[in-house]
Amino acid sequence: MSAAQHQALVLGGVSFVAFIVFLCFLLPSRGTKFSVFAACNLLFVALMFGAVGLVDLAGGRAEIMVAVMTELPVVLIVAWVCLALAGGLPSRLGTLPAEPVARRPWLRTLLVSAPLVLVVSVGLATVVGLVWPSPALRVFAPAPPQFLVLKGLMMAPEGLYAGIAAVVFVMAGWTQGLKRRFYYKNLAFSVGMACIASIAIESTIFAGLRVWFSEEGRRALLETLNTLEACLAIVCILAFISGLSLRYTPAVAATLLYRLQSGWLHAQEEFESHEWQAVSSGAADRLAHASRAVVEACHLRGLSTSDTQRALATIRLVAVMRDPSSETQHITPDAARKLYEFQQEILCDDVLASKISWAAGWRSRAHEPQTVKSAPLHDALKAALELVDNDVESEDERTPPLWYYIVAVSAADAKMIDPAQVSTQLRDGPEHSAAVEAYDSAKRLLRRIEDRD
Amino acid sequence: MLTAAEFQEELAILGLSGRRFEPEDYSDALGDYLNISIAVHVIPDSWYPELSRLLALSGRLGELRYSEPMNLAAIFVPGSLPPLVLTLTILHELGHLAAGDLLIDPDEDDLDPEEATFETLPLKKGKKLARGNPFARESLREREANLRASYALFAGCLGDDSPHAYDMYDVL
Repeated sequence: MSAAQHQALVLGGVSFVAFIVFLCFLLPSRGTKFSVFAACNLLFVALMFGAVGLVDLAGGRAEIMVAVMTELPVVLIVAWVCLALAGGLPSRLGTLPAEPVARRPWLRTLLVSAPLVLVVSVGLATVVGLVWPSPALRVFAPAPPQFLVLKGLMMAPEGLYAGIAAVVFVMAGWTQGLKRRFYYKNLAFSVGMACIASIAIESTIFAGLRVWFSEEGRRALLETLNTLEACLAIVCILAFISGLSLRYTPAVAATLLYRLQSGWLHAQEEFESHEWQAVSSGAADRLAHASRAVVEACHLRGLSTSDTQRALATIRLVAVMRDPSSETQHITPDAARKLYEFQQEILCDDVLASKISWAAGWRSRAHEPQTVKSAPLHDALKAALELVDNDVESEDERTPPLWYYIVAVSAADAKMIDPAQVSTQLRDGPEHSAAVEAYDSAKRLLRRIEDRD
Repeated sequence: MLTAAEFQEELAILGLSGRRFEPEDYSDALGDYLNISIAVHVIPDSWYPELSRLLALSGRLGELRYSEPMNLAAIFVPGSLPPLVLTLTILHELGHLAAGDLLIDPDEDDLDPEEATFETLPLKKGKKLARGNPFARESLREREANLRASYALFAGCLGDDSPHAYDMYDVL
């Protein structure tokens, strides 16, 4: 067996083992498009090196063709990685570029050019090899200068793009505040691409030695380089396997996010903006007096700011839902119920409910941001539906909070809802009496203030 | 129409991809990128009680003004807006700036919008964040600004938990 066959068998064996690992462990659990592509390439490389190892291919042009064919999978991997980093793969395979590339248009242009440059360089190398055949597979044999041109044409672009990709992976992994898993993942891919770049450089040096180095001492050096190449190939494959096997599942799936955006957010924005428009344009004219009385009654009973806000939000909702004008036509019990159901869906998911938040005002970082749970609208929707919609039976068996009684009394007084219904619903308990007392005091106080003005 | 992935690229350009951010951070980053000064004025109802009523009657929630010679954009929103609507309104107006809607050449804006379904318009000199040019049809420009606002809200809340941000660090 010649040295070339021995080297081909080593590389073919490494590729075949890697293919088996991909097939048995990676593909079933992490079948990304890249891992499928890499597995196909590994199989192809293993077959090619296997063929070279088993059949002694001597003869200039045949050797050139086999040498090019064995290099092709690596070229394809580099091209795929560059395109993936630039977000240039077809949309079916993923369109987003790596974060550092998105910020640098010149880098994206450079990476997108990889497939074309690599294919052209391989094509040129093939032409050079076919015109001036050289012993490409007889690894220790002296070679003519054309062999270095052939190798240089293939390896220079491959090494350059693999090196750039390695740097981009490092930049992506280095981003501040990134989850550790992404850091290790990108680092692993960076090591893999750095190995490919190193093999390209090593291969070119190897070709140079074959062209210019004298017989004595050459073989020892070339054997060392061959061992180095095999080691780099093993490290490269291990690095890619590690990178691909590091999995991370985002806390929120893209489909759920889309549903939230088109469902809950759209419904809540529309509901709240219509309500604001109705109130601001003066459509719900019974509201102004009732809301002042509710706020005052809450203050008199010493309720917290958040409970007062809930009471205010509820009386606004009841007023708008009960207003017959056209400005309030969008704020219906049906719309309120739909929004409430969307909110309940979010609240069932603890992670999501804690993450979705919005500022309480512009440049108001001192205030706690609002969440679906903490925003007054959630409780207000439930309370308003119970007051307005006669068909709704309260699911909660607990006694309603005092702010709810105050709103009910105020809404009944302003003829927004039927007073008899309120009496039945609240069963004239002690909370009801306390609410009536607070509301009456608030009204008297407001009347006195108005008379004084 | 703008996709969540395309918006994530815009965030990456602003240096906000994978980070939790507030609308203020988005506004500052956008202003720096476009090289303009963006001022957001939340007007309390007690200062100018008519603003809310006038905006509500016109069916609008906020107002964006842009002065090209002064490199200045100003957003006016009433302080009485509910917090979520206030946030989305400001993000919506910032979305118009990102899309370059205010850079549309007035001479080109007379294109019949009914005929030009997804046609875009050329721009005057000026910088924009979006890859494509603004739509000729105003309703589409508004829809896209709404999309930008909702994408920005979720991206800001989720940071690197956003599936789209995650895609930018896991390209293979």
